[in-house]
Amino acid sequence: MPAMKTTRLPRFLIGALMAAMGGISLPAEPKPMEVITNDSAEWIPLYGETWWDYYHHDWQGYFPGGRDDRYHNQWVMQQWFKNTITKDWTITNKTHVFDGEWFAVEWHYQATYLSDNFTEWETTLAIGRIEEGKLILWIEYFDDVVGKLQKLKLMPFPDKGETVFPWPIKAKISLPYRP
Amino acid sequence: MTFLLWLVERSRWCITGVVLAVLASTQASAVADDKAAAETLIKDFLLSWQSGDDEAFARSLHPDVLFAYPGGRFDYDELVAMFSAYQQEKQDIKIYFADYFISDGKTHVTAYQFAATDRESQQRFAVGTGVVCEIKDGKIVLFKEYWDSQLAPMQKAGELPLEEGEVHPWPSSVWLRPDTID
Repeated sequence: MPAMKTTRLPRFLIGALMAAMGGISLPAEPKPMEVITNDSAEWIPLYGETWWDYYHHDWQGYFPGGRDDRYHNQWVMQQWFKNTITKDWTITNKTHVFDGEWFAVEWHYQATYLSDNFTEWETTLAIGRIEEGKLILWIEYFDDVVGKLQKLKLMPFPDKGETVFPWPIKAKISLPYRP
Repeated sequence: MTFLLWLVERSRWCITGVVLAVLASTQASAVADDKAAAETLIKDFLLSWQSGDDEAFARSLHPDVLFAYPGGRFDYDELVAMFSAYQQEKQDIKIYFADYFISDGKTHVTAYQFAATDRESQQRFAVGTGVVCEIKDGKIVLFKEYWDSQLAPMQKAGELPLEEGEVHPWPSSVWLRPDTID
């Protein structure tokens, strides 16, 4: 069993979490899609914030903290609400790269801990792929240590609108490369 | 006469269409060429970690390069110096690439796994890494690496498997746990 490690679900899953909280089971496809496209440049403006409504049956997710899939995720969501750690998840400053059915997006992420009301501010690189008009693959790369260092006042917060980097531009401390 | 005018007008539109199609095709081809060239440059750059070829490593870099990672950032001189020092600290460095390379012609995104053994402790780690790269004058001018800096220490402590050769943020045999989501 790995040691305790915190991660986070993609912003997109918040809607699914809310659905689970309300005791609503996730339907396979609750409403018709307006456009079926595998072109990420078209798909993101249409469905990027609501893809849980169009979950691909074979969806796979990979995060710092472990992997996930459609069925495992339903258990994760149910359990998550029994012991919520953070609230007010906010994603800002998104930058997309579109390449056919593939896309990538960098963003700033904020979340507030229920325990002490501390708000961390981290960054993420996410990679996705669309198949049959639905998100089938989702991968997130981020360093969860950033929030812990911010909590210890060893790491500054990024400025609003700051270009997304693995660590904030104003970080004073540094760590060796892959020690 | 009217027919001749119609024919000339139509021919003009046809020629315009053909020219536009050729231009679009040429542009698409150029983008594909740029993407292929970017992928080659980035892979060669990363593979120089494995070969220890410091000349190849430096050759891939633009003099104004900014290299950012979870822990800090380097300019050209700092990065090249770090590369040489790192080869003395680690052994059996292996680079494994993801099976995707995403590019809009300006920004290139991919992932790879960096595996190495510390010479002193003989502890090995294998860390999945997301990459965002920009290129200028055929050289890497921006290279951002994203990874979880808790992963390698946990692998060294035996708390997580290596799963070397599989490119994911964490070992894929570990399932996401709800009590760890923040």
